[in-house]
Amino acid sequence: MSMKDEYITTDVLVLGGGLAGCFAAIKAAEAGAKVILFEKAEISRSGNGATGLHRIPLIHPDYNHTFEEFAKLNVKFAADICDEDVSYEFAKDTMDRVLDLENYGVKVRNNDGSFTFKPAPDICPGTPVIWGPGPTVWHNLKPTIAKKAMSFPNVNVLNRTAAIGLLTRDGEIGGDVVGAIGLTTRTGQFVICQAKATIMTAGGSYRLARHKDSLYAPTRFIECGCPTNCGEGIVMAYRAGADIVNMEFAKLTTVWKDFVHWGVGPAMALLRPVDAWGRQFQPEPSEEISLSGIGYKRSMNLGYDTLGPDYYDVSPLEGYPEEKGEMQRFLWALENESTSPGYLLWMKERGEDFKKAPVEFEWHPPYLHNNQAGIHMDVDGKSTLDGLYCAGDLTGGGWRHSSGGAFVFGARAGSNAAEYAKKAPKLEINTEQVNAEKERILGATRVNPRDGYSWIELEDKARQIASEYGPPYTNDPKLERGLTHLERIRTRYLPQLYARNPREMLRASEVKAVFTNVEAYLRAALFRKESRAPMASLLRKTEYPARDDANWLKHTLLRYVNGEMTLSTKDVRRLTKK
Amino acid sequence: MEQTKYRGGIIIDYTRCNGCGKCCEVCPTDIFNINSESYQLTVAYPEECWYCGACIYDCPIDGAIRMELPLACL
Repeated sequence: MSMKDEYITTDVLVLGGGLAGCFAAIKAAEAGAKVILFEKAEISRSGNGATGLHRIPLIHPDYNHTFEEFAKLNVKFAADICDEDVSYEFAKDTMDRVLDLENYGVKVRNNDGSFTFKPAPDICPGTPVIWGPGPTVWHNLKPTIAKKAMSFPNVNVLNRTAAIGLLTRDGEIGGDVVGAIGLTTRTGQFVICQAKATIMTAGGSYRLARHKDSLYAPTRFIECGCPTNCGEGIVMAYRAGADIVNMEFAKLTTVWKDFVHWGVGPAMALLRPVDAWGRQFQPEPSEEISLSGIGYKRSMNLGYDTLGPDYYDVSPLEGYPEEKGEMQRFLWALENESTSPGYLLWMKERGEDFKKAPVEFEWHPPYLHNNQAGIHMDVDGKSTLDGLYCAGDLTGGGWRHSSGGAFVFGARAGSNAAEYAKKAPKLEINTEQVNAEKERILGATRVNPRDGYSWIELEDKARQIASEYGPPYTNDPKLERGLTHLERIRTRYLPQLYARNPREMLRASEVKAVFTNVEAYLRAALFRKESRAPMASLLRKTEYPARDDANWLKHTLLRYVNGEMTLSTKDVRRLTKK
Repeated sequence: MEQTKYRGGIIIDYTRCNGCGKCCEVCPTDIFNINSESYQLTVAYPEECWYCGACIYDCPIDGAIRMELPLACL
């Protein structure tokens, strides 16, 4: 653990090699920038798209919506907490990114050149997206994109290297971002990279709240998204001084019963969630929410009480929308989604057959994934800090765009960061900041395990507090109590976190991020004095049961000021009439 | 005291595995280990498996690696 630090320099540094990170690297490289990419795992199979996708958003007036219509729909389904300009610009670029994928070797069309459009209630209800042309297998979509990124001589991928902190001008919070420090996860070596522009694409967080089996060792890391992603990207940007928005609006997802992987099955089946008596879920009379919103909300309402079991009835797919063979298409998607091996095994072992009977589901507790919560990003894929761009699941401020958001804003962040790098002044990294960042991890290596706490115990305690006190159903005294507990654990027990090897050094960095995200989650929920129900999220507060547009049609804004988490609001952006 | 043995996770069939290390190379959560002396491949961190199947997709040998769900999921 006393290896010599490695110092490197580059034009553009990409932090995270998932779908967004790969596109960022490709576009920055095409613009002529020298690119270094830190990948915590191995780039061919990393991130949420590691083992496949079954559909990609494609918005075009010839096929579904005008860009303006799509943006308006996005705002509606986000319960108006959405930057409309980002949704509009997203829609505009989707076709170009799909064509990019085609150029990189991903088969996106049917043999006759057409696209297959199917509904995707999890992306945008009423907006069909393209599905892979069967029998093409999209399990290898990620390796294909990764291969493209690695094909550039000016792209250098450092696998098993996790970003642990951003570096800023003079080490100041809010200063231009001048690079980052990474930890080599198998050796414990630190890598310090000075960069003219940095792109944060480290993913969302699936380690925010407990899930019901997260305490049981064999199921600890069965999460709806890649458990490697635990929100460190949001926390790194926050600690550097970037604007973080809407952390109270964590995401809620339906998953198969007892197997908490998110994916096509749960998503598609939201077309018809039913209760134990076969009755389709209905919205609460006071609310206007989408069909899939009903599924999310209904499943949540039932999740921990006695009214279940709940089922997905996918039988309407047989004739939906008009054509035959929809069921085969659904089966195709099941077999091609990321994590299909687990799905298919789950169905086989439990004797679940969606062709014969409705399939049982449950809900996944809140997590952070590309909706309202995350780093506040503009239409250029830039954060509020100079030199820091961002894309993918860790971005906030709007409605989710799934893989399409990673492609579109990964690409924009990549080209814009490369342009910025051409003009950026050469800024030195601050040695004190480097040492402080290293110390955040090295401190844990000096704790004697006999007197200390493992990352597992500490992480679970933070997630327990998130689950017990945080949204979706909460109130101010409850949130205040949760914050008191978190502070007690953070000050008294977190310093006793031990790390015995490089792997545990990585976990030490992750656990600290989990604590900050839980704090952000509780504080933002305490700050917002209303209830609101975006489609895949919910904040329902006892003392403020109604939506309050007069005062709260705004982003909640978190900033790191003088070592404190401060809260305020920020206007949501709307398209202006030209 | 013997540790509790849990069922489930990634199972390697050592009669078929050729020890190429591809699973260890690609695993998103880095659960595999190759012993530096014996080159024996093991699932060192079974409790950190995401059940994504990357190791199964990329394994060059049919049936050398498979997945079993934990009882909690069954």
